[in-house]
Amino acid sequence: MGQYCQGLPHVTQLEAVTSYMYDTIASKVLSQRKTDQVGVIKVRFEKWEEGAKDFIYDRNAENDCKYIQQVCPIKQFSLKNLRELKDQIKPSLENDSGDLGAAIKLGIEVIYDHCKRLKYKKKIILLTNASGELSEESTTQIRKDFKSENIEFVTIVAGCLNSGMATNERISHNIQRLKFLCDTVHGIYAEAPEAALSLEMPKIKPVKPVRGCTIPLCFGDVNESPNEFSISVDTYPCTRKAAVPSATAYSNIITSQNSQMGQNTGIDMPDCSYYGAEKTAEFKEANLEQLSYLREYYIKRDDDSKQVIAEDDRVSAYRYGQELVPISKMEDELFKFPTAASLLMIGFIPIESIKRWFLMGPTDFVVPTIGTRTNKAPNKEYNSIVMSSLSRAMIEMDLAMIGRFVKKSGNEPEMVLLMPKVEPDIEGLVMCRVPFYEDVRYFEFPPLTTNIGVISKKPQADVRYLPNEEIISAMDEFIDSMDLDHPELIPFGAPQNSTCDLNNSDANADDGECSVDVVDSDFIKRELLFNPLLHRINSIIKACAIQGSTDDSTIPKDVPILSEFTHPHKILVVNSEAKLNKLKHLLDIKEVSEDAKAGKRLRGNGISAYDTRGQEGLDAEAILNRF
Amino acid sequence: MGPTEVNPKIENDLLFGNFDDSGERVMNESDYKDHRDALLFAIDVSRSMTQLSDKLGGVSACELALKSIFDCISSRIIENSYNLTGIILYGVKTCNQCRVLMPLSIPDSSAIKNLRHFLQDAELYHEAFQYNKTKSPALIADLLFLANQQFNSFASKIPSRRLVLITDNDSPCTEDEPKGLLYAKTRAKDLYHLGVKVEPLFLLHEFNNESFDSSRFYDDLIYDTMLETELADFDGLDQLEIKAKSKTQPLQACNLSSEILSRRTIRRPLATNTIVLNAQINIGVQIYSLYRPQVASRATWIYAQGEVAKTVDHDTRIVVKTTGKDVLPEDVRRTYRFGEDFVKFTPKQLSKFRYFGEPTIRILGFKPASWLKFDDNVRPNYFIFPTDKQFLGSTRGFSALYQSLMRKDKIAIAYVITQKNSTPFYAALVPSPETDLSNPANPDTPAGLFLIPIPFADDRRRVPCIPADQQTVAPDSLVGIMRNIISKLKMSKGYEPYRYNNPALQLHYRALQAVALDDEYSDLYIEDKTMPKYNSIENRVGTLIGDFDHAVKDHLHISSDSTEAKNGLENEQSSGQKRLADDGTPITKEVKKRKNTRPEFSMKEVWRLYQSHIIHTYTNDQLQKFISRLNLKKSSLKGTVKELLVDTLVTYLDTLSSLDDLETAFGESGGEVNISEAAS
Repeated sequence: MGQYCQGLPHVTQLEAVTSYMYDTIASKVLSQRKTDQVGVIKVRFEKWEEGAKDFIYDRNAENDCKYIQQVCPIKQFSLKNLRELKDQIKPSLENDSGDLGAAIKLGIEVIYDHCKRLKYKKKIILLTNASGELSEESTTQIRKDFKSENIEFVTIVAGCLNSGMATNERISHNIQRLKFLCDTVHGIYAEAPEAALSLEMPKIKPVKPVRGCTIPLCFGDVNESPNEFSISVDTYPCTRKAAVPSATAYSNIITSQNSQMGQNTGIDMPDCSYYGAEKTAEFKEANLEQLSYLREYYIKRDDDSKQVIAEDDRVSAYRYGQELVPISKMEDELFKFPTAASLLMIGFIPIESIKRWFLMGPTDFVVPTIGTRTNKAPNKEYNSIVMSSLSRAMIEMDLAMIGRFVKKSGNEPEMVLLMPKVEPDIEGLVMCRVPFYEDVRYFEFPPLTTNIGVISKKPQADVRYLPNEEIISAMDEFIDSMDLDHPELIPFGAPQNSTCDLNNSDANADDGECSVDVVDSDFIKRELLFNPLLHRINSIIKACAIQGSTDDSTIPKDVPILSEFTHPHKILVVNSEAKLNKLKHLLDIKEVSEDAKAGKRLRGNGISAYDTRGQEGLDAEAILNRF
Repeated sequence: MGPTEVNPKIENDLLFGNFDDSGERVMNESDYKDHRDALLFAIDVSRSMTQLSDKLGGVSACELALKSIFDCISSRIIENSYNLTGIILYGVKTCNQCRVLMPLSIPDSSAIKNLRHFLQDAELYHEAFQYNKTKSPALIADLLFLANQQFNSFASKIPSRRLVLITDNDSPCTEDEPKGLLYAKTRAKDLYHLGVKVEPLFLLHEFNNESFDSSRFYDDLIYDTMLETELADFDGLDQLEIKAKSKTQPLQACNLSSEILSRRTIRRPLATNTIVLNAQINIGVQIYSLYRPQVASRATWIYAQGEVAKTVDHDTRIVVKTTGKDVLPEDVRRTYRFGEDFVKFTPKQLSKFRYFGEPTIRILGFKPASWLKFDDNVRPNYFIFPTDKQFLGSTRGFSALYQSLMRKDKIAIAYVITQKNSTPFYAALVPSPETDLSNPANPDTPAGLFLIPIPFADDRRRVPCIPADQQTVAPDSLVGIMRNIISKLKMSKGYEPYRYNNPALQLHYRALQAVALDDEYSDLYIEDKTMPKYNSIENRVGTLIGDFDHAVKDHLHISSDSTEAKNGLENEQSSGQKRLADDGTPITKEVKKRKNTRPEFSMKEVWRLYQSHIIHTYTNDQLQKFISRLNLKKSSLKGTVKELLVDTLVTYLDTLSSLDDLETAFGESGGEVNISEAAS
């Protein structure tokens, strides 16, 4: 493994595969989930670490099992563990013995001991250059174990398989066996470059569906009319802003207590410094003190001194013109609008009438309450069959529903639109909030297509401001030439199946992949639009933690997909060039000179800009006096 | 009394600027509210304006205008409380024919009380609205001069200044008085130099033959100032706008009220940006946000226990969590966590991470409009409109893009950075059609492009998968009945925000006004326009809904005749819902309790409870609903909300002789409420 890869003179085979491991582990550390655990076994290493305790195989054993060691047990990783791990994984230059099959067996045992009968998602990733021992018999045994324990298996092979190395008989045999093993246990076989490529695909943190609320969906007046029905429905988030890691505040000053202890020199830590794993523990105490914010409330006495008051003695005040009107908590309660948790049907509107811009935020799924397998909801059949009829009827009629939604009794009501959604996995509705009258800002804008303001008796060159038919058809042509469904556009990366799976199966302990149920074959795919800030920061944190440095040189560049859709695609740019030039010529858009802008700025400062008129040499007075 | 720990996020904002979790600069509501506006109304008091009109509900145009202005001020005072408002009457019987009814100022409760008193007191009112039979030819000039004075003395530093002229007279100066026009033009020019926008509201009503020819006088008055703009101002948009306004179609007087209300907010962009076509064509635009949840926002905290109420201030101390030692803000650094540990970066690095380039709306290409789905939504959207301030000709380019997208039924996909240092996102640019002319008073959608952020792959959640064996697919027969039901409940105009007031916010506004004006809480009740129109639903699909319910139960082999089964079903259902609720309280008990104490809500039951004098067992909510359904006038009784509601209802029921009367009354009032116009 210490050999350099072909074509990559600076990367050893070991580095080529372990980068995948470190990244995988770093993602688990970042997730901070207690159940997201990992352990590492090394095989065919140089020599036993002094003080290493966790062997299962005897170091004095005669056979190839001698060089198998569990580097660390299965646990939730920290930065310290990661650094320790890095110190232990080194290429062996001399040792050439160690059984891959036995190592996998040990892995299965370790997983079995750790997980017992608990519902973990289990996975073994084998990183190898396929030059170790791997016997036919051991793979047969392993195959059985994988199946009975329901363990996923991934093999990543480093090495120059199409070069002279592959002529090595043992390696080619091993590769065949590994491929066969992967096939039979539905595992994944990948080579290092493929794995490296998969790291370039941002990973989406899968979020388990969490029920928002369970409320009745009512048709008709449930309180009064005999002709009504209601079913119980659950809401689940459909779209939510994914959280971007936020920076934590800490104090830059070392507390005197710590400097007395002599752990530090008492000088302010330079911001850029990084403290290695061995220092992490004291680092926390010495420098990175968590902060909290304390608030003290006071009023000013007549003599300007402060009188501290309790938080609860404050009363909220609202502005009423010049005055402040205090409203006590009691009054607030009295003025609270009473509501009961519910989703009330108000009416149905044609889907084509929906003004897309009314949708005000995140969307939710609305599905019938069926409860869980163990705790079945009463009337689950009734709920499902009514919802099924409703959503199917809405789809057939091309209608969406207007509803009044109260998430929890006492909450303010919201107006919502509900769209039917019938797919293999779901028969329900998708809900989104729309504005109340008060939520609309009724701003006035002049029309964009007609010159309402043109006064016939003074024909001004108003056409200057609006395009003529020639311009619009030039725009039409430009739009056609920039069509994103252009056949020559090849979707990004066109990821092969194996790399794709490599990514997704890497998900957290109890979650599967995040499915995006939109089928489109076009160039801009929804599932390829990643939050650039989120993935940039995550990859920076991971890279810097693995490398143990925050130098600018360590900070990785954005992975290619993040910048794939920041500019129009080359093919489209070339394709549209002629049309664009024509449009540009016709539109004749000119940047406003700095002088003119300066004139504008004057107005902002409260000085009338209109006094600067006539800068183009026109006699304003003369024109004014024409009347 | 000790200091309180606060949410560090809030403090972070204070220390590190307005960035939210996702690193976007938070666009504050105060960005709008802090922008102050001075609005001066001028009402033309003339013979025709003061004549009582049946079309306006038996009041004069003047009175209607003043009432609408009162409503406008009442809402401005709460929603945009730093804004100035004033009212001038012109053409009245005082010496110079102009009267300042309310000087331009930030109104306070006494000003509102005075104005209300003025509206209610017939004598005061009629005295003020006596028109002057001999009109001075210089009247408009005098008015504009007076307005100038008002703006100069009370609103010299307010950035937005508007004069709204409400008149039905298209020729205030007769032809043989050319001086009138000249004077007026001079005064109008003065106003323009002061930065005051004149926004005329021309009325059409039965007493001026329903015609209004702005060319007789006003075109000249307002066009003058326009020409000037053309010379001084490079903003083509502004010119268009003024022209559009000067030719504002004369209004039917009955639309006056909503037109005045629409003046209460001023337009203000969030940011200026540029649409870029393949790095070659730049189109300057301004970004607005038009739809945002409006919430009652507290202005400040007050300590009311002393002799005088005082505003509460606070100090924030940053301390080390473990030792309690103070830390100065300049010694606070930020870092990212890696599990339990930290990875330290310099402030410079941190800000570099967040930097993705200068603001831009870069077009990546175009797609059919149908590409954007309903669930492609997670962030609030923006409205963009051209400005020629940076790039002359932007309006032209924008309009071409807009018109082309509109007629090709396409949308643009763009890479967007709204403001400096904000996180980029992908967005669809969706064209919105020109305002619906059939409903000019409620232009909820201006024509332009909406910038709708497309959710990131990271923002999409999994479908809550229902195991296949748990899924129930409805048979065609049931879908058929449902189809019948929903087709009868169709509102073909779509969703119209103006139909739905936020009842919680309205209640808050009313309460605030009541407290400010020392009113009784008695007229606090507000009509909840968000409730389904039950009567209409009952009339249209009542039987069908019943049929459907039965058919489903038949399908599931539940006896539909047995009411017991139905009740059982309901009980089960509600308890099922409750059990699933996460509050964790012993819920079944609560359900039972409710069943015992709260009577069923039907007309029969109301009558029964009324006769046995226990109508107060209903909840306030139920009573309110019932009262609003019957369109009852609120009792003026002083007391709690409950007492008030009960009194209102009982007073009404006293007038009835039997249950039948109640049912009839109920039917009548219900008949007026229509769920939609879609019956046809």
